[in-house]
Amino acid sequence: MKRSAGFLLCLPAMALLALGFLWPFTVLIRMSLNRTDDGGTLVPDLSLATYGKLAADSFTWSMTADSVRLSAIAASLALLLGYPMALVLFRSRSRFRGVLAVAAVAPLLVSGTARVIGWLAILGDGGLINGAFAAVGLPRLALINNWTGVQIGLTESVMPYAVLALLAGFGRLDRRLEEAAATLGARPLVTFWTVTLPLTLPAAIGAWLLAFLLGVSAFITPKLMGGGRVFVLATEIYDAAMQTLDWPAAAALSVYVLALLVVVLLAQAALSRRLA
Amino acid sequence: MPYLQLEHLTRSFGNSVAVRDLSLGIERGGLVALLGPSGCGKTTTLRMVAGLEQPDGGRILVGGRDVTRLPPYRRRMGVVFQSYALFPHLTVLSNVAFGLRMQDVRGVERRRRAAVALEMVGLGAHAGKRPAQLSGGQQQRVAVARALAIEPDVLLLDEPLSALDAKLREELRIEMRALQRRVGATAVFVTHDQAEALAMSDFVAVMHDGVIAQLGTPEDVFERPATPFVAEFVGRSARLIGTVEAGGVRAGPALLRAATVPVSGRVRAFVRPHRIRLLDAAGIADNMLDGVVTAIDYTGEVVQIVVETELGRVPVDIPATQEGWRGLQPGARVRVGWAAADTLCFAA
Amino acid sequence: MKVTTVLATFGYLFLLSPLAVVTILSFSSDPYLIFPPPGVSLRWYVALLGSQPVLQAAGKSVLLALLVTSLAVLAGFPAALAIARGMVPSWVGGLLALPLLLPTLVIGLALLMVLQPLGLLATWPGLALGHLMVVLPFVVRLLTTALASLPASLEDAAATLGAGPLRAFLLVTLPLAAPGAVAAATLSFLLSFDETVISLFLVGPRLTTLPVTLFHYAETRVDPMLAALAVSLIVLTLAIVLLVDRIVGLTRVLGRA
Repeated sequence: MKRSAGFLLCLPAMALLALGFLWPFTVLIRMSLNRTDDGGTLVPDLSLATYGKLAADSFTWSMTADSVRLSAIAASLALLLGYPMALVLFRSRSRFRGVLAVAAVAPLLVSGTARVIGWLAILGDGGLINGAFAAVGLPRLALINNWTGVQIGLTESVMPYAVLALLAGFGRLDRRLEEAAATLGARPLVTFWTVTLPLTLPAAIGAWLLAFLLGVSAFITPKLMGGGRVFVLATEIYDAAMQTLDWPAAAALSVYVLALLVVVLLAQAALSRRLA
Repeated sequence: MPYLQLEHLTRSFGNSVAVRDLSLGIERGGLVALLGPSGCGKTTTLRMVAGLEQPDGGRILVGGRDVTRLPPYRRRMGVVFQSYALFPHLTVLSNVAFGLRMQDVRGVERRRRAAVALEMVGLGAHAGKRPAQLSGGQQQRVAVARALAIEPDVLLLDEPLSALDAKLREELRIEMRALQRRVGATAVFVTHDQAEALAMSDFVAVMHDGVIAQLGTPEDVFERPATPFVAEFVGRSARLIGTVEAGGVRAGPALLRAATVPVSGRVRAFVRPHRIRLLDAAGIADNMLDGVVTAIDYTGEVVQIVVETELGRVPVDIPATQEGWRGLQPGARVRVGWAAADTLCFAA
Repeated sequence: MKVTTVLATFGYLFLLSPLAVVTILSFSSDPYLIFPPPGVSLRWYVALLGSQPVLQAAGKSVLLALLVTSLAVLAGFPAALAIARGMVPSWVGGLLALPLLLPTLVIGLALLMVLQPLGLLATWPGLALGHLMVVLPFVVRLLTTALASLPASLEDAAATLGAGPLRAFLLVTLPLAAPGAVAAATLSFLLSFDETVISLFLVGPRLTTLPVTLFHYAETRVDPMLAALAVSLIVLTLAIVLLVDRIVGLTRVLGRA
């Protein structure tokens, strides 16, 4: 009786999950097996033709390379900038700790669009940086509606997640280990290199990975800050679905992105096993 | 007719049997301790009586009524949990009044009776506080008051004092016993602390591996253990091994005399430390052993001396008021002795 | 450790600069994204209040968020109860967290492909379902933690004191789970209110949300009214978080989870 009671309680949630996730997901995969003919109409099919078409298109590969490069750089920069933040936050014993913690994740509470607007104002032609440059006689930089802008915006948008992941992983870092190193005569930089860094490496890898995965599937920042010139996997999927209405292609691309994510996860699992 | 009757209770969890064929009867107003090591099934038994576990077999009768199939909220049992399980979101008074509320007692009457129960445990002044604001000992008392407030048929206590420090334990032990007597509640309490069980109860049921090894008064269980397990678990003893011979038990060079001896074969013998004396040069006893003192532990009321003899380690307990132990040093040669009647023998 | 502090400050500046800039910009008197703004004015906030599409979308978003929250809590609470009490195998909890693994882009696309043939695009059920996929895992997770932290002995105690299962639930389990439930509901509301990507796929002329309006606005023209809208949303979010924190200690509950 207890067994069935439990499943009964989970029924509404499971039903919603099936309806909104499991079923649509199967439909998505099914859709990727359809084709569009040259006229742009949908042809029901059960083949890998769409995948073939995408694979044959060099644009797919260049776009993948761009997306991966974009996300990898964003993840790396986010990690570099976020690591000191996480460290300070983790060690902090001051009463500002709570405020600092909230500040680190505050961007998550704000919609991506709002942050983009902020960046446009900082990086734009009339914005903060170019305004300052103009004031001292330096030439303007094109920092928005291009890859640079997207790179900067993407880095900032994945940073809070990187910081959170680092903090979660920092639990393994015992202050006393650093203190022990210090009593043994190690200067701060050496302590960092020989104690702190190795111990926090798994956390750092995890954080990078999270940032990368989020970056590869990011949509809002590339779409709004790219000015129509930046093509990544996410924007392509959206355009295929909503503009060109090539649903099989959109579906195939989505499956492709998911496969990419799985590959990266497996690679990370293998890497962390090597390090352990 | 016992007021609380457990008949042939069995309970298994998966492949392990927690309680097997357990039967026990308790008179009205009596207090029985279920004593045993962890895993012996005592808590499972208590939970079955409370209705929180269903027995696989057997019956539970309260005042002649079969309550085995009744859910816990239909049995009138007051339960004091090891963790007290006080409702953190209710005040102390509301906690105590909870059971009365379930009985649909009206507000004014309910609060009055709850206040009375709270007074009984001496915490009337703390009625408006939250459990988190009380000390461990106070929380324990509130848990007792809450269980008593519903005027239960049976009071069940699951290791009620285990979370408290030694001094508090002793105080509350006396208090709880007095309270139980005053209220006249039939009570069962579970403990692994044998001193507690012996001090508080009318009867002790020593449990081992899901069965009752011995049911008796504290004195019975302590002085006349029925099995080797009880002899070992309850109290300390000198343990000797030997074989039956004409006239006693042959253990190495010594022939031990006992009141009752198994017919033949190997024997495990136990002697209680307080029954063993240090003999001076002229002293004689039924059983005598020579040995060397290895430890003298002064514990306030009793001096625990350990003597290493040819038959093994023999603990000797001497009241601190007796003079025999002063001046003894580890390494001193002594002779210990005890009466034949104090040798407890079991077939090995 | 001074070096770390300096670097951390850098990081914080980088992270928070867009937010700061957006806030300041919303008070700009100039219709272009010039920073620092030449003058101070409230014209954009006034324009917001006068903009029909914005106000309509805002109202829809609030209603949708309330609908989604109610559904999430109604469906999530019993599931969390079952998981917390071990009444279902542990993989059920994992299953309910699955949508978190997928990018919202893919979830939105998949839902588009299912709802469009059914004519459920730009409808309340369609949008609610989309939002629930993002919200439900969080709600279940939070409620499971809240319920799991309730010692089972409390419900046992209630039973021995005469409370049947329903009364024990209403008088003991529910009040103690309330702070967690409120935290879950608040998070759910905010997640739904701010949800952009899935909504992009599922809205239409009949029904659209505020974040989508904001997005499309940013796509076409960029003036400080966007900033004013963004800041209004931030302020609203903060207000809700602070209010709920006051009432039930939201941050504490989320911190534990």
